[in-house]
Amino acid sequence: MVPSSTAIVVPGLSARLPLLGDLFAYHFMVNAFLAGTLIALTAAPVGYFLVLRGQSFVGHALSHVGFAGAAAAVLLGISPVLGLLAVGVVGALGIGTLGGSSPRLGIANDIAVGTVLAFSLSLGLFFIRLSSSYAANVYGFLFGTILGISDQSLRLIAVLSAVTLVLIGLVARPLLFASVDPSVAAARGVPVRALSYVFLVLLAVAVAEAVQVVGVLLIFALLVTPAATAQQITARPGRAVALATALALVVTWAGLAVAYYSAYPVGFFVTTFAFGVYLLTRGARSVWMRGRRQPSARRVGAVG
Amino acid sequence: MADRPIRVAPPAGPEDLAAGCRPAAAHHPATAPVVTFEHAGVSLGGRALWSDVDLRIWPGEFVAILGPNGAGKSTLLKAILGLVPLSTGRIVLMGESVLRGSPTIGYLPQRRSFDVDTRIRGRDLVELGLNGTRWGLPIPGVRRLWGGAATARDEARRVAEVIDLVDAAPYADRAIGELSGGEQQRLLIAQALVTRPRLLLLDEPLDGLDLNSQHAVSALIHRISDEFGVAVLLVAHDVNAILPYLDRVVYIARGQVVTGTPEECMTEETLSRLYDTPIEILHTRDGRIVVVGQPEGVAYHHHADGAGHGAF
Amino acid sequence: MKRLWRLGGILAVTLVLAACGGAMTGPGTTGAGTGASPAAADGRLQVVAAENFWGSIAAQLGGDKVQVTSLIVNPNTDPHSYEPTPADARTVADARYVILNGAGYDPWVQKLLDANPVGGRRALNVGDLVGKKAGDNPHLWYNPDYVDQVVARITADYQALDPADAAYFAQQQTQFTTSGLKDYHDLLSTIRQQYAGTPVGSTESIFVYMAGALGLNLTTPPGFMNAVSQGTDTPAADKATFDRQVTQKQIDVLILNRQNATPDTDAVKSEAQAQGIPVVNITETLDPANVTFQAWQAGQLTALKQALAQATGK
Repeated sequence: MVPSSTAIVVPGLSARLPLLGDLFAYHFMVNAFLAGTLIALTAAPVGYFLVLRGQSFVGHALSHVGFAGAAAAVLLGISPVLGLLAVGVVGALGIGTLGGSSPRLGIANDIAVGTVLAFSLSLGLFFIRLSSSYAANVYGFLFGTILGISDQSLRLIAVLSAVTLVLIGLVARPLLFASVDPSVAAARGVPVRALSYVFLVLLAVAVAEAVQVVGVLLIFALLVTPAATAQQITARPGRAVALATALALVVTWAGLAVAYYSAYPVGFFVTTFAFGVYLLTRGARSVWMRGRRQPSARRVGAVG
Repeated sequence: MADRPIRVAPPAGPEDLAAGCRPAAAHHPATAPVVTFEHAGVSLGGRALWSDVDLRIWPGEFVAILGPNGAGKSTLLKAILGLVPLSTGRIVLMGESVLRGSPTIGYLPQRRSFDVDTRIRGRDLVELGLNGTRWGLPIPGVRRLWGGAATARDEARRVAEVIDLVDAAPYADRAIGELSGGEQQRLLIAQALVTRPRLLLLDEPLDGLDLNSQHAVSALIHRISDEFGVAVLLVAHDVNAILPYLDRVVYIARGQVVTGTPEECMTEETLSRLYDTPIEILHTRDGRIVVVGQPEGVAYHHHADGAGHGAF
Repeated sequence: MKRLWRLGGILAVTLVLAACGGAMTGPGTTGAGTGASPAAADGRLQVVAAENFWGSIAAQLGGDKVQVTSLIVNPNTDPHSYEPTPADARTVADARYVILNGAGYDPWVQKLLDANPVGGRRALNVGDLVGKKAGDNPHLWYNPDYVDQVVARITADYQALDPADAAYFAQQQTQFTTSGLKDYHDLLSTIRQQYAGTPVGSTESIFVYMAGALGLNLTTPPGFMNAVSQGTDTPAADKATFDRQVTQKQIDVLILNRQNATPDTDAVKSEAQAQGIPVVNITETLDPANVTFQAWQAGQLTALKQALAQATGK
């Protein structure tokens, strides 16, 4: 009998930790974990900038735009993921253009984004109707298809992740500058508008990836929540990105592991864990803030 | 137009203004100016905002740019930054033509306040002033090869220095959104200073600050200008907070640009002619100047024969 | 910055693992690393059917030489919107023979197969077998011809996967087609003989193949039937036509998919009952879950025959 690939990847682990070995005993689970890891690594830094720029809604909108793309792809008989990606990128550039010339360039107003979102959802339904085949193919995108990642998909995810991370690394500092301080950044020669477009395209890629884990409807869980949690804890950019990445990895792994032994979908667990951590952090922070303020108030009372 | 003398006034014109409102003697005649406007003009939407401006700013000068809304004060700063193209003439900065992104200029744009939710430290914001234009991330291994590790330490030290300079150290590590307007302003000034500029452009930096903060920030700017020889061009609405420190004022109104000391330019006669409306100036006992009757947001018409002479 | 570099290290390792995972896959890699061989410990062939109607046929054809697990068994599960659980993925990964309906009905099965390639595994895509693809009517198990084709193919696949028991499988096939499906085939020919040409209506496209096999005249607008099947809005014009057919008693019997009830189908059903048109309930998957394929179909055909008799008086 030919040994499975997993035996080579985690040698000896199956023997010592039966539970862990169980988790990686199947190829589809190995793929799921690898894909989930890559996707979390990509979504977190993109999500950090998304939250910083206040464009979280755009992230949500792009997942719906991508849905229309996936439906169109099914209609045309090509891979839904590619359709999701292609239309997502086009949508991102469109949202960037619709955003107009607000000082924080590329931040589209809610109306423009909401309109695009509603239109693309209805377009997606229209394509499903046209294709006269079951929505089942596209339905999977609503809630994620992490258990069905083929090796080919995994390779695509790896390539997309690598490209996205390299690009983010390249534009990180100017993008940070342009995101928090666009007027001075522009004065110092940073191409603020161009960077907005670049970021939106990177966002489209991150969305296309994250949709495969948590689906179109729950995209926030992977893209926004870990980054939002990290920013609650620290205001230092480097640390916030690292923390967001760690959180995204933990909720993805935990979600996959728990889902493996239960009858419920992966997306549900990932979202719940992400949301739970966020709530805990918010709660802890407000308690801490209250504790910080009270002693000084008491002091003032004593003096006055 | 070739045989026109340098200063020619239209019939009801700036000649009188020019005569009363120019420096008795130029500062440091041997020193090169930091910024020189040569017959510079800017057009907005087809009509000239101001034109034929000849202006020189010397190192270490503290200059206020005054005038009504819409006159083109911010545009003057943006022209120096290269953000707004000139329609005529040129601006020379430290001997070179203006280009965008010069680190010799520190810039504080107008009305910049940060969302309460902006989660980034003041210190990080200042550091961005130093390295925010650099592409890529520092690679530890490669950096060490080029003595880069030292650069990181130097940069951190420079940031700390400039934060100390503006007395913002106690709150530099808090999220910028949590700070008060005055505290944010100090950190933003630090950001403008971190590249050790020769010229500091400030667009209404005292806007929205309470009176105490206005005085504190003005004193800080003067100290920086004095200690480091940084030329300061500051756009303001109300001149009182900075009056004690001003070397010169530049008035932009109705397409005309005039300059001189506050005593020379801030006279009822000068200002009334400048704004084409009766202006009263009151001097309070504690030395403050109150300008009464100054119109705001005035729509003016460009004189056909070319208004806006100001050659100094 | 250091933290970012640690993360970069994790990324690099992950990419390497992904590459290894991709490279390692090929014929000869099994799904289960726990040592279980593709044939269960008791030597039976592990078979997985996505839907229990195919699973029932596969179980009877394989007898005690196979162990068949069906994934969709609950009559309340909507197969169109089914999300595979990790347990399903494991079941598929452990199987040596997988039967899926295809024709766009259950695309999630192919994804599970792709995510876990196994050497020596066979898959039967019924849609591919009978020449139907995504976009065509996927209710292939309601077509008696296709059922016969599937029976033959499953037997052939069994014989290929387990050559030692080839004779046994041949015997099972004969028994199934002559005895097991006897009532089913008899009812089909009876209804065809007696009621061919009778106008009938159906709320869903599930009945289209069967109507053709029985020679019944299915007059319901395809737009209506397809929309209900796909779960989209029924086109207004088609809905109006169908309403008219019912209220003017232009159909003799209404066939209703009980597992796919929508407000539109409920409305048609009420109207039909009001008009005294007999309503025959059919289901999408085996109902109850433990009956055999032939018992299920025969039961429905019997009900249909009675309704036709009642409506036409023949």
